[in-house]
Amino acid sequence: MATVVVLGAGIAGHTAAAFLKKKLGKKHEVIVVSPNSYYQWIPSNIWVGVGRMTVDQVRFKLHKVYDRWKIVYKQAKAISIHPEGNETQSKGFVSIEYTSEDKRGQKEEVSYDYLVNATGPKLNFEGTPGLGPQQHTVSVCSYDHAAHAWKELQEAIQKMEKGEKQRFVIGTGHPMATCQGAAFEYILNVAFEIRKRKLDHLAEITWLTNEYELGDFGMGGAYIKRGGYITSTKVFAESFLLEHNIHWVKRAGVYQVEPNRIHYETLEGEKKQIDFDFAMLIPGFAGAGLKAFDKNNNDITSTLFAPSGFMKVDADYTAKPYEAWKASDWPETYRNPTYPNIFAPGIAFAPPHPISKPMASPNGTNIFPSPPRTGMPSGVSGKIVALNITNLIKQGEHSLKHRASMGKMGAACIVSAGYGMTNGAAATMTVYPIVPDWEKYPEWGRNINYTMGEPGLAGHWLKWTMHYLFLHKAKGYPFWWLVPE
Amino acid sequence: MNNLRRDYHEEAYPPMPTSTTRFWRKEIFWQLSRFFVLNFKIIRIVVLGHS
Repeated sequence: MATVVVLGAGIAGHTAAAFLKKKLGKKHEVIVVSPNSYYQWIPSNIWVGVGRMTVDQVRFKLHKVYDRWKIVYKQAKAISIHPEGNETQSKGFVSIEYTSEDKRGQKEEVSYDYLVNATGPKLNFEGTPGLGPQQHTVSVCSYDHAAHAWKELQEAIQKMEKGEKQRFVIGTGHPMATCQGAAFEYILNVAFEIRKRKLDHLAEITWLTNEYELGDFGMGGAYIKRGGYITSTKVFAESFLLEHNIHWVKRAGVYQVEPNRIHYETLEGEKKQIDFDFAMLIPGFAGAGLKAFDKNNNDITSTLFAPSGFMKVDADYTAKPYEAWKASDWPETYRNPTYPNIFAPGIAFAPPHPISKPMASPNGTNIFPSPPRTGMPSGVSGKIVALNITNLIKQGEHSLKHRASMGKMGAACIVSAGYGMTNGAAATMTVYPIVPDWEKYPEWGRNINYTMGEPGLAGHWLKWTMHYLFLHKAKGYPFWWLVPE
Repeated sequence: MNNLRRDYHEEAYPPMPTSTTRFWRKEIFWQLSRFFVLNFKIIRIVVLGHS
């Protein structure tokens, strides 16, 4: 009997655990370790943040699903990985610390034959002094953050209803933050809710971003076919903001937040401030902070993990200039090169380099987005890791059959711009591949026939449908495996 | 919205959708047809992404 331990129960970890159990059956054991007792469908958090969905509509208790699937679930956080075992055991193991009410603080060593590190990112609010729900801004990165954001937004709306002007600043809260898409959705939804209440004359809404150009979204932007032209996502994104009467500040690296004031550095090296009454800024992402030790208890964290805290996998980490980056630098199997029984799908893997062109201010501050790995790439990489581990267990070591490089994978992104079945809106965007491949597509970097953007009510229906479809899948309801990632 | 279009500043350049464009973005039957087209386009991407 083989034991597969999955760290994390987000999109990548939950997908991996689901397919591992489905493929391996009762003969093998699947253990999930996650500090949170809930699964959350993160793309819908923006609707919690504007009061259009409740917290319970975007989450469910993990143990209910795992009990049904016969997956062992440990509500705990992983502390360290010991891939060679230690003096007392030869198998690799993970040290965990329980976070559940009944076992809080208890520690345990969980041994494995295969390990899936899908811990996702640590929301690094500490990287920007004053940032985050405990400080002066709100966030929509988790359901509880989103619920808090809605509470704060309601207060701002109440002030406007009394005739008071309010300044809204939404965007990125760190010079190298990613996940611009979520912030972009949130600003459009906030503008929609304000307009719906006929309060837009009292609102000054600003998009504050570390992107060199709008529409970069951490993937270097994209060229899309629109209205008989090939245009860029810059034009697409700017047009969207203009339509909703939203101003923008780009090339801004936020380095400090004070009550009602954000400090940022521009790419020209100037230090500027912007005042706010309500601010939602996405923090920088870091690795989960796991340590690693060999069998003699020597620290091998730098062997398993990149300095960012994300796990090294089968990517080309050779340092090279932007002009020399290739789509083939990106990992295909998410397997750790030193310990081949460890995999890291989703956000947990260390990208070989950014996708957006690196930019630095004269002061040496890097101001550009980190590469996104959320959503569809997380789900797909989680699935192929599960399928490859299944084959390794059942057939032994061989060349891994299932591959999903971001240089060969497309992504669909529905950018919500307002909730409503008859008056809602969203921009449906697809890119193929996610990482531009200038060798294969020398003209536009991507396949222009598969890369598109279209605003409209249909996009809202799509996002709404996906919310229920992906929760159906995550809950393991009938035929869940037919729903693609 | 016109206050953004006073002079040659950056926010003066992006295209603004016309009222006709905005109408079609909300027109139920047109959007229903786009719903199926967009679904097809997304499925195409999904299929290409799975090895």
